[in-house]
Amino acid sequence: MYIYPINTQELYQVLLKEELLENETFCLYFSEKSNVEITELITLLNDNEIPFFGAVFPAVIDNGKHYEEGVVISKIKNVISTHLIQGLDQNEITIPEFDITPGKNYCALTFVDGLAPNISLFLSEMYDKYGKSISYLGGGAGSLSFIQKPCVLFNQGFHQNAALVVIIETQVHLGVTHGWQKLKGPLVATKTNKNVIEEINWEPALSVYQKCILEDSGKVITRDNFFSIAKGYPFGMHKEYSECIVRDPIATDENSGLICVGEVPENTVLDLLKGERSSLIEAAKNAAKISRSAITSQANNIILIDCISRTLFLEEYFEEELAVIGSELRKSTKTESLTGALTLGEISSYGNGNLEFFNKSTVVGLLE
Amino acid sequence: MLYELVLSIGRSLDLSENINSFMKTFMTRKNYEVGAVYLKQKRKSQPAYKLVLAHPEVRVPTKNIGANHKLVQMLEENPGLAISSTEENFDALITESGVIEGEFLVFRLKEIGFIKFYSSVRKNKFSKLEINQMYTVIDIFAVSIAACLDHKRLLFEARKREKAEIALIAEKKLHQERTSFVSAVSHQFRTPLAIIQSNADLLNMVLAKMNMHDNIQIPKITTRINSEIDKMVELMNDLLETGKMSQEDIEVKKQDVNIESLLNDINRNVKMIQKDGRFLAINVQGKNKNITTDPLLIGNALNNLISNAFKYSNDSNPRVDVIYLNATVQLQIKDEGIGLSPSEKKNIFKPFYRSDKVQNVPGTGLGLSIAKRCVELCSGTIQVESTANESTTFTIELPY
Repeated sequence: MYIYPINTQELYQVLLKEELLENETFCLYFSEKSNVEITELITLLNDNEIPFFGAVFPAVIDNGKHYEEGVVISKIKNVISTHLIQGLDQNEITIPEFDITPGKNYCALTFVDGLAPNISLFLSEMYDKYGKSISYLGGGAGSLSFIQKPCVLFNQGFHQNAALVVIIETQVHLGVTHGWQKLKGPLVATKTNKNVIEEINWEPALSVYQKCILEDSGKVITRDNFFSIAKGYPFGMHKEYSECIVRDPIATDENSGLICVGEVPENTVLDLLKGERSSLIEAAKNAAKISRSAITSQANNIILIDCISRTLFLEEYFEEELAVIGSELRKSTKTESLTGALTLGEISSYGNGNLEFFNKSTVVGLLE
Repeated sequence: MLYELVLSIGRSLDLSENINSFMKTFMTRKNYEVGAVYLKQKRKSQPAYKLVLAHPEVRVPTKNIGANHKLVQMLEENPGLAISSTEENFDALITESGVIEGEFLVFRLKEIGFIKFYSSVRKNKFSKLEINQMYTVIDIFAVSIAACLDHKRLLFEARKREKAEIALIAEKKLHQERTSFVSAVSHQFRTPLAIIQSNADLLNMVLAKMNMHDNIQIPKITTRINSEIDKMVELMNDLLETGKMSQEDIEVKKQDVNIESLLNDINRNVKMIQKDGRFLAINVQGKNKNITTDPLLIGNALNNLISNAFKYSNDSNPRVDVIYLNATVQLQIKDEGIGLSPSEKKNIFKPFYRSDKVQNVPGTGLGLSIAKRCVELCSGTIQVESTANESTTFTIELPY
C-alpha cells in the first residue's frame, strides 16, 4: 500500500488501522521525501508493540508504480528474527547467529546502508557463515544526495553504516539481471580503495574514464556534470557463465578517484559498459521471468529491488520497465502485493558463487 | 583473467588474507561457489592434510583429509584435476555439503597442500589447456603460501624470544631489587646488634665493679646474648656476601695464585679456631703449578667448604686433595660425616637451603651458594658426591 502522509502521525494512524495477523510484520519502504520523522514513528510503534522494520530509499515502488515521495507499507509473514549488523565502516564485521533450522527455507531480506564502505565484505562474511542455507534478497538504502545518514530502521532504532537482516521462513524465487553491454575493455583498476577506483591502467581513474566517454559520446564529463553522464557508463567486473557484476560510479573525489556503489578489489579487470533502453527493459523482464519460472503457488509477497540509476537512465521509459516486470509476473501470480524500492545497489543470491552486491540491476523476489 | 588472478596473490604475508584474496577472486571470476585450501601436516601422528581456509566455511565440514583419500592419490598422479559429476571419480572427491552435480577443480600446491573448488553450474569442464594455464598461477600461489608459513613461523619464534627476554629482564630486575633490599636491611641490623653486644659487655663490666660475681644468673644471660648476636652477625655477613655475589658487575681480580699456599693459610686459621684437636689433612698429587684466579673468591669458597667439613663430621679429620691435571687443578674437600641424601644433594647449592637433620647445627644455609658463585666467577666448576651417613666430597675444578 502506498501512502503520502502529511506527517508522522498520519502514517502512524494508518499503521494502527492496518491490522496485522499474528505472524505478520510491517515492512516499511520510506522514500527520502516522506514527511515522516522516523525516530518519532519508531517510538510510537514501539509504544503499541507493533512489529516493523524498514529503510529509507531514493524512491519506492508499489504495484507497478514508483514514487519519489511517500511511504510503501507491506506486510510480511513469518518473520523469524531481525538482526542489526553495525560498523560497516570497519574492516572487521561480525555476523550474528541467525535462528534457522536445517531443512527449512529461509529468506534473508537485507537492507544495507548503500553508502557504507564495506558492503561486499559484509555480504561475503554473511555468505561465509550461512552459505546457501538461506536465500538472500535486498538492497542499498540511503539518499540520492549521496550524503550518508541513518537509513535502516526497526524497533531498536534508526541506523547508518549498518545492515538490517530480516530472517523470513519462506521459499523465495529470485531473478537478477541488468542488461548493460560491454563498450570498452579490458581496463585494469590498478589502484583502488574499497569503493573508490583511484587509478585505471596506472593513470588517474577520472582521466581514463573521461577519455573513454569522450570517444563514445563526444561528451566531456567533469566533476560538475559527472552523475548525469556517468549514470549511462558503469563498469563491469567479469564473471564466467554469468552477467558481469556492475559497479556504478556515482561521484568523483578530490583526487580524481571514481566513487562507486560497492567495492572494487584492486587489480580487477573491468569493462566499461553502456546501456540501451531496449536491453535494460528486456533484462528486467528476464529477471521477472526467471523468478516466476519455479513458483508453484501464488506469491505472498513480491519484492522488487531496482537500481535508482536505471530510473535516472531510462527516465520516462522506467515505467515501461515496471510494466513489463508486472505483466511477466502476472503470467504466474497475482501482483497486488508487488512492493519494493529503488535502491543504491542490489542484493540477491540468485545464481552461483559469492553473494554479490550488484549495481544497476533489477532483482525480483517472489516469497511463497 | 590470469593477470587479475596473479595480482591477487601475495598481497599479504598473513596466511588467511593471502588465501582469501586469491580464492575469492578466483571464485568470483570463475563462478565457483565453494573454495577450500588444505595444507600438509608436519607431524605424522596428525591427519595428512588440514583445512586452513574455506569459503563459505559452512559448506566445508571436512576439516581433515587423510593420505589415503582418493583425492590425494589422484593429485599424486596429476597436479591439476577437473572432474565433472558425469565422471566416476566425482563422488569419491566430495568433502563439501550440498554437492549433487557440477565440477570439482583441484590443484596441488607444490608439496605443501592443495586447493579445491566446486561449481554446480559451470557448463563446460576446465579444459586441459586451461588447467595448464591455471597451474602456472597456482604455482605462484603455492610459493606465496610457503612464504606466509615461513613468515608465521619466524613471527612465532621472534615473539617467543621477545617474551623470554622480557621475562629475563624482569627476573634480573627483581633479583637486583631483592639483593639491594637484603643488603640494606643487613647494614641496618649491624648497628643495633653492635649496641646490644657492647651493652651486654658493659653489663659484665658493671657486675665486676659491683663485686657481684656471685650472681651467676646475669653472666649466663649475657653469654646467651653474645652467642645469639654472633649467630645474627654470621647471618648478616652471609646475607651481605650473597648480596655482593649476586651482583652482575662483580669484579674478579685475577692474579697468579699458589693454591697450596692458600690452603696452608686457611689451615692455619682452622687450627686456631678448631678446639677439638681435629685438623685438616692436605694431600697433593702432581707438580705444583700456579693458577690465575681471584684468591679472595677462591679463599672464600674453600673456607666455606672446609668449615662445613668440620661442622658436619664428628670425629674424623677432613681432607683436601690437590690434584694437578693437564688443564685444570682439582681441589677435593672430603669429610666422613653425616653425608647427603640424593634429594639433599639436589638442593644443596640453593640459597637458604638447610637439611632437616642439621637444624640444630648453627648455620645460615647460604655458605654453599656463596661458594658455588665464587667458583663460577673464577671460571671454575663445583660438584658434590656423597653417601648418606658416610662421606661427602666437594670437587672444585679451576683452570690454570
